[in-house]
Amino acid sequence: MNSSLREVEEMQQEQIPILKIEDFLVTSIQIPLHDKLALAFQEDVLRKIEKTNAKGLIIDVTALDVVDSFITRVLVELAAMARMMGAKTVLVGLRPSIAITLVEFGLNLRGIYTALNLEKGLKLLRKEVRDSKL
Amino acid sequence: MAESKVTSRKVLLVENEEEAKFIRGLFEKDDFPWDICWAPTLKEAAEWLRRNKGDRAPLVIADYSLPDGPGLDLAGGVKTPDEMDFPLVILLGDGNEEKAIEALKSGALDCVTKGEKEIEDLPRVAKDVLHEWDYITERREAKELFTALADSSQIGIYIVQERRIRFANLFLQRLSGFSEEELLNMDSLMLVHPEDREKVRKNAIKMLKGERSAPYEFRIVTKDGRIKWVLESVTSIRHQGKRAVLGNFMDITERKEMEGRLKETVEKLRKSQEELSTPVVQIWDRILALPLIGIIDSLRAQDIMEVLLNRIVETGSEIVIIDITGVSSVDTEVANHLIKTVQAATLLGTECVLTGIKPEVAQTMIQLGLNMGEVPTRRNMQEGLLYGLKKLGYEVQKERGAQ
Repeated sequence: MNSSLREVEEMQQEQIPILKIEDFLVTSIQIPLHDKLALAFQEDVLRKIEKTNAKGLIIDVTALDVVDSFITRVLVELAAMARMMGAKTVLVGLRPSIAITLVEFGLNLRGIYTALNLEKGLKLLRKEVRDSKL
Repeated sequence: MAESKVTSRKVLLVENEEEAKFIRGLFEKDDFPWDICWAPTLKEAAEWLRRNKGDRAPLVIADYSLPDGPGLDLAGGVKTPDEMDFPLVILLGDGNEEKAIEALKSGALDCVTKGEKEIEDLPRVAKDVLHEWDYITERREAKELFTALADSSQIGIYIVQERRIRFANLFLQRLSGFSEEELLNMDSLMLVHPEDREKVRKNAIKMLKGERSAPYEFRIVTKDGRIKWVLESVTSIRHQGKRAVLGNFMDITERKEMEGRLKETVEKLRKSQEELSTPVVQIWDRILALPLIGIIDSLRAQDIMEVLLNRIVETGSEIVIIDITGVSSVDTEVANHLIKTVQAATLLGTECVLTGIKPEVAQTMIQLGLNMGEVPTRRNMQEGLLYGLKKLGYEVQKERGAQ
């Protein structure tokens, strides 16, 4: 069990970088997110949230040209898990054609905030954090 | 017209006086109401016929040879009784077979030899000839009626037998530009536009079999190469003893042209509406306005979504004011289109405000149970703009001292 977890960790660390900016984590999905990788990705994000006490997570999907029901589920789950750990999730860079497809297919991104780009995503998180402090 | 009694039939005897007297006697003995008239020569007979023209045709009984010419001259050179203006019986001096044949081939309906027992039968022969004449007349009139009807018709009428045209009325001749001679014996599908021939063949067969009752449209090509649209029906008939097809059609070229123009106009209208379709205006930094006008169908809704989302990305807008004052009607379909548009914009992080909801629209939406969700609404563009500005952190204030 332990060795396979390490495998997973190694695999993920090579492929989807997660950066820290202010109180938040920023990650950009540049490659297709298939089963094992998705799982690994989720675990790594959560572990990093714990380690850094991040209040927010920004996921940049600019590079994705396909967002199907599987990816949608992965993201929704991740946002729910992050929320449990006290961090809000913002999705940025969703392409118009993908947005239309998601809407046409009735795929919902529950529990995830959205913003046009990284800059706006950060602005949003800062505001949310500020408001929640009130 | 019904007649209360059997009317008399006129008979013109063209014979010399003596013979005429004898024959007259024969007829008077007969109980049929004969009206016997007499002319001794060809000339007088012709004169009489001219004077009595217009009345019911008289039975003419003429001698083969008259003082001023052959009795057959009265027939006017025709070859069959069908072509005659009156029934003709020729009296022969002797039983000459050749003369008899000549008479029958020149329009006479019968020949009787004088000076034999045969002559006494003349009244009976006369009655038989009149029967046959009545029959010929009836048939001729029926044919004339058909032709008159066909030629005066504003509908094309034709008969096709063994795949060739056997009859084509005036209308068809005029429409196609071909003369009667050119049309007769033309292949039945020749006039039909090559692209429509298969269709016409199939539809005609269906109609003749009784599988189809609605007339069908197709194009014909006229002699000078123009295209005309027609609407045709066909039916099975007997023509000269054999099976044939009777067709009739209307010229619908004008109607088709109007249909075409109508389609063009509708398409133009649609295009121009498309152009007015999605005017996305940036009315403030990061605020877009989308005033919708007219009918929102699926096609347009798709357009609107694409244009709006692209503009959001281009301008980095965070607020979109969608004004529906100009939308003609809001039913479930339109509402769903709007909801989808708002959802898509939301996925890009943009907030939408709906403005310009008219009373009727509000009624419809609530009655239909349409839930616009958590989309904020405001009365008009102005209030929508205020909402947007506030959301972006602006404070709107009048200048001190201003009205």
